[in-house]
Amino acid sequence: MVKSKTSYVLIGIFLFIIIFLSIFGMSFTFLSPSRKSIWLYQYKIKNQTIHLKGLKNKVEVIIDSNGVAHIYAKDKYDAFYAEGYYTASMRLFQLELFGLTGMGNLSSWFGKKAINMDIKAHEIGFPQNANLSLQFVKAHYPSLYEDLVAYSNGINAYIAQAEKSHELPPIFYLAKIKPYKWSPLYSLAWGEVMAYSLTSGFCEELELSLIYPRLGFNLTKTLMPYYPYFINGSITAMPGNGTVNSLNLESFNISPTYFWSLNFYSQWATGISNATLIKARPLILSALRGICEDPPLGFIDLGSNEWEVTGNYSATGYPIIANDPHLTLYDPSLWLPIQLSAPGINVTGWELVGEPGILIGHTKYTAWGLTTPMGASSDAYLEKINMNNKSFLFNGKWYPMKAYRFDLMGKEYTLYYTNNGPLVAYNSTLGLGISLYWPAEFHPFLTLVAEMLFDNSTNFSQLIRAAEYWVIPPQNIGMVSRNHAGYITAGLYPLINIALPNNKTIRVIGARLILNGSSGKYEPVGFVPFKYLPHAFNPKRGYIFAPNQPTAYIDYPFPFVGGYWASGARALTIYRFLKAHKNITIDQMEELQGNVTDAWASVLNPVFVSCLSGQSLNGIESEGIKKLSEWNFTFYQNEVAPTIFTYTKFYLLNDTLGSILSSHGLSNYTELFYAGYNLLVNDLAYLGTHNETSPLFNGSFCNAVQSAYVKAISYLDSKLGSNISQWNWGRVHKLLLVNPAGITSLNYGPLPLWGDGFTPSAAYFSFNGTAYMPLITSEGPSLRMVSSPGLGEFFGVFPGGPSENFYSNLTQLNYWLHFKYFQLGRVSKPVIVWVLLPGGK
Amino acid sequence: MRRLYYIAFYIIAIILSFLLAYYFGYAFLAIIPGAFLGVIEKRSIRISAGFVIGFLSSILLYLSFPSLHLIAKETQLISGIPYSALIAIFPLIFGVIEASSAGFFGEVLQWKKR
Repeated sequence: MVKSKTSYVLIGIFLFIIIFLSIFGMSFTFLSPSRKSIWLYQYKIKNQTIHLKGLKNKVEVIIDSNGVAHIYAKDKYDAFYAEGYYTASMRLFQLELFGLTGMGNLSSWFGKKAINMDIKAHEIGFPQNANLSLQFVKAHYPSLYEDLVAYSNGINAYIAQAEKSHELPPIFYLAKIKPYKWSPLYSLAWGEVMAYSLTSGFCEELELSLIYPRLGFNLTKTLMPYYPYFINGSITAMPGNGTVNSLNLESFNISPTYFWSLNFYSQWATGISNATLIKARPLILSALRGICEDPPLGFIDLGSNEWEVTGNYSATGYPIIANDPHLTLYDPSLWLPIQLSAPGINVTGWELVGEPGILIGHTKYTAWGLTTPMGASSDAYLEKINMNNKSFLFNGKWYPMKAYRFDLMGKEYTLYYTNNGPLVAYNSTLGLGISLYWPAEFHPFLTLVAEMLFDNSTNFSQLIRAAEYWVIPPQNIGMVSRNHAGYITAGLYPLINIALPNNKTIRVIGARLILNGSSGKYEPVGFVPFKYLPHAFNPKRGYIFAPNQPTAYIDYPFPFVGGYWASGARALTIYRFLKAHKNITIDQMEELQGNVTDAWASVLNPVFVSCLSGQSLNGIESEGIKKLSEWNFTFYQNEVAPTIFTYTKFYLLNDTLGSILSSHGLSNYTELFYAGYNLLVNDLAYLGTHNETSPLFNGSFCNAVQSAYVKAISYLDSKLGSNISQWNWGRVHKLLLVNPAGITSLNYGPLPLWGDGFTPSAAYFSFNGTAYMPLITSEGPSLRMVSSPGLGEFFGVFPGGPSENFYSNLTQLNYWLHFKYFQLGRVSKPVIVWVLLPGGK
Repeated sequence: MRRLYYIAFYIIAIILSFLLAYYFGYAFLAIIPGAFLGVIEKRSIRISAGFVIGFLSSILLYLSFPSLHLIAKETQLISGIPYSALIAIFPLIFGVIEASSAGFFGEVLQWKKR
């Protein structure tokens, strides 16, 4: 009886466990050792022969020991198909994430938390613009359309294969998301995202619209001059006074000195009074927070380097180009190194993941690179609106707004358009709205046509012809062929017609503040003609450089009123180096890319040392001065002086500018103000050496330096200990490669890093008005390329590897960190071979 | 004779455990091999055999996945679930279900015999 009772109890217990665990265990099927699990995905890239539906002929993909994939196909369609297949194999999650970002549909994967990103994407117009471009490309550029389709087919072939064999990257199963079918529309939409992230004008005009009414003209001009201090016609991207094809400001009887002495913040220049700017402040803030402060994927566009030397200036007699675009350093990288070889095309370089072809690279005869020029190519307009009847005022008449409706997670949203573009912020009570004028809304994305022309180029004229198709975003395109070298700032620069106080009218690029969108007087009236875009082909001095400094100097016929340039530190270092190195070699070009000298440190540090010498200082403070006085302004990880210099600079900026912010009622905009950190350091370098008694420094620059230095030493002492020899730059300055989906646990780093935001080998970190550590860099040289087609020498490196797998091999990160290069354009040592054959199901 | 009979059931349970875990991956399927172990007379042996066969069969199958170690490390980073738990959780569930199944069917068979 007792025994049988025990049995009953046990049967009950066992039954309960079986039922409970069977239900509970269903949630863990993805961890089972079955074909339904996450374990099937293979991290190791291995040799394989695959049959693929839609492929026309056999394609060979050889992945070499540097992680470069060499794709050998018998026709162009197969080459792009294989490129798509390879890209998806290596980067499917990243690729699809980028596609959804462009199409404003991240919420389909991530739900409500991504809805704001999607709304922004629609407000800026990525999906709308991509649709416009797709129709245009289909109708007018069937060859490009075919390339886009081939690339998409390759991606979709991989998705079908991986889904069938349950071998998608584990993140798809973990996040319970399904890959969607790629199409040319996604490539175009992603191109729009990249283009917008590299576009200047709209956001800077809004930022200044908040700051200017408080600071007034004199202070604004002092802190944010039209041209940064230390810049002259030798330093601009187009060397000289700004004359282009015999046209300059004086051709319109306007003196450059007169022109640049004007106050372009005035009502005559923008159509908006100070009182209106103050009234519109909440609206401006809303627009800034909407589509400026947190753009999709959080791109920060702070700079890039590019320079070329002519054959006369190089040691080999052939031109050489160097390019390192500074972008967010993602893990995985935005770039994928590839060679595409098929009849009619043989190009090697970096694919921008999501776009077919090679964006930066070389053919056998040519090489090209890109940097961002930073002149305004978008503008902000303040509109008078009536949201009751959805109309806007233009030139004295009310017009109905165009409505665009889109759905996100089953909810309908409506976006309104004025004649200038989408209304990205509005306030019904005030009857005011802000619209974004961005040429991408009206012009198809022909930049991909330019890319394909670059990829097929065989001579310098073809490079220039390719640049003619480059529309958005404007870019400094550095180009070399076997015997020619040059650069052009290509793209669509909207022109605004303004009447100067002397009653002369002139077409200018951009504005200093938000423009009046209702009066009809400040509307875009066309674009800078290609012939007059800043450029320099085979310059006599033998070199050209375009690292985001002012594009053209003061006599340029279409003045960059909206010029939001980098500080010019990298430009100065590059200029000094190139000027001093006639008969330059490829090795020296690489050396310059790895240069970590800070031009502003070379100006400021001697003043710091001079101000601090002879002061009564304690032991650690005296040791600090010794380090600074022995320093040659380089930022290597093992140096102590960069740490002391940087923190002294932080305190100096905060002491001098912080008080201006509070005394002018700008305390709430501290973050916004210090977003211009790059330029503020240039101000400090100039004013500290040319205007030491400026009221900015409370009458004495030296006193300000002394005070800042003592605070910096005390801060470093408290954070790093009193042994000054251990205050290495690499201890406070770190590299962090960030995951594009924002999964912080998948970030790579932190690793000690060289450089700062002013060294050619740039490493950007932010400053928000207070000292902090560690200084994290996630923006910098996203790749480095040095090429000389005449010599047949092509080198490159990037901080990543081909695969998005967190533990992937073949990464070049260590080479990038130590300024080493790989030879491009030839198979270094084949390690993996894929044979793609037609005939899959 | 009984020994041979038991060995046959052990072998059937092992084969079924491997096949069901590999081809289907549902933890509740461990009930089937567990049922075969229910014939073993001694309660402690059938339960422990159920657990050992269930646990080992699924954990040994992990050896067939060349990237398991790296995927588990990455999954730990993404989900925060410890590496060892990611590897052990399914075999543990599979093993406990198989043990419970062996126990359940063993009790039922013994009860019928009585």
